[in-house]
Amino acid sequence: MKALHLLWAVPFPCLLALHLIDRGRQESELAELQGKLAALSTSARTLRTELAARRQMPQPAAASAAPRIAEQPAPAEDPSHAGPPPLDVIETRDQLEASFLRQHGDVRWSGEAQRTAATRLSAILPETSKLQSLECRASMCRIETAHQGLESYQLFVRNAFMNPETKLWNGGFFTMQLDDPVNGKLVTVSYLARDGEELAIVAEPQR
Amino acid sequence: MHRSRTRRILAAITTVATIATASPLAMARSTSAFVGRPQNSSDAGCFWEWYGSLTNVCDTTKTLIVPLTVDVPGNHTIFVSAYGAGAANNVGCAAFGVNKEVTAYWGGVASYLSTFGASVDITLSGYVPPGGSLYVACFTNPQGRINMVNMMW
Repeated sequence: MKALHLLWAVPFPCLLALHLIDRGRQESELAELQGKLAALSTSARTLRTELAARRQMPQPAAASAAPRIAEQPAPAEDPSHAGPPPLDVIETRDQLEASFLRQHGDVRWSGEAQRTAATRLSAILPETSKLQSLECRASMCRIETAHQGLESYQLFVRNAFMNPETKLWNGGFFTMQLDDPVNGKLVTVSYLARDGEELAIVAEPQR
Repeated sequence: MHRSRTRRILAAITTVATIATASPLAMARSTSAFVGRPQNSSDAGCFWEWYGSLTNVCDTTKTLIVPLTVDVPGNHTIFVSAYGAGAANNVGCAAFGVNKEVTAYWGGVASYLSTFGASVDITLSGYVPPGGSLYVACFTNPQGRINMVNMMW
């Protein structure tokens, strides 16, 4: 029995020592990881602060930049919003036109929408304006109008798409002048989505 | 015990590193309703100001247009905080973007208050082209109130 106790007495201090060494190592690892966590948290805070400050800073004037730098394309406005750049007027028109041409008529919606649009347009178009074409397909209508002067066009836009009491229906829209005015006459194209729906160009996420 | 604690710390480090490096930060700007003005200047007296909010005190629906500061072109989600005591005091808004030549217009669907008796957000979609400007038009029934506009991108 005594021999058995002796058998335990020899390895026990060794095991205890090993355990204490291991615990010490774990504690030092823990302290190191806590330090790294604190450093990362600080870095994240600094990055957020810098980003917010950079957004609020005015862009330097182009004139102050060296010509070689000024000729280079402008960098992306915000790297955190990397993605396709927003479309300008022509790109929007091209995308909507292509989308419209790809669509087929929706038997249930497009026929009725076209009749509704024709009726309401006849009521709101200024006297000097003219409906040149109107066609509705699966998700939108395409409306081409001619106006005698900018004021008539603006009145048409307000009445057809914005004024809740007169607009064709409550859908997302895009409208633009097709050409520069000739003798005061301007031709415009408009795309109007279904009631309650945004135009695909607007609904498309940019990020 | 130490191992599970170490795992937790490693998970926290990973989370912080991911937030710091990978995820885009949603940005927002708020605009007081008082920045806006009525579509018709003759309606200026119809909007009564109270700490930046505007209430239509006339007997008919009036349109208030609020210009929004654009930091980044593209799609934006817009929240209009508005109040109507009842359906007769409803407020409906729509966002619209304009190019800098003011020859092309992007308009979103108009949305109205659906609950009454407390200030709630009307959510809108708006698109603004590069170099363009963005607005919110609010059709305000009598006693309808627009508090402010928040924009996110």
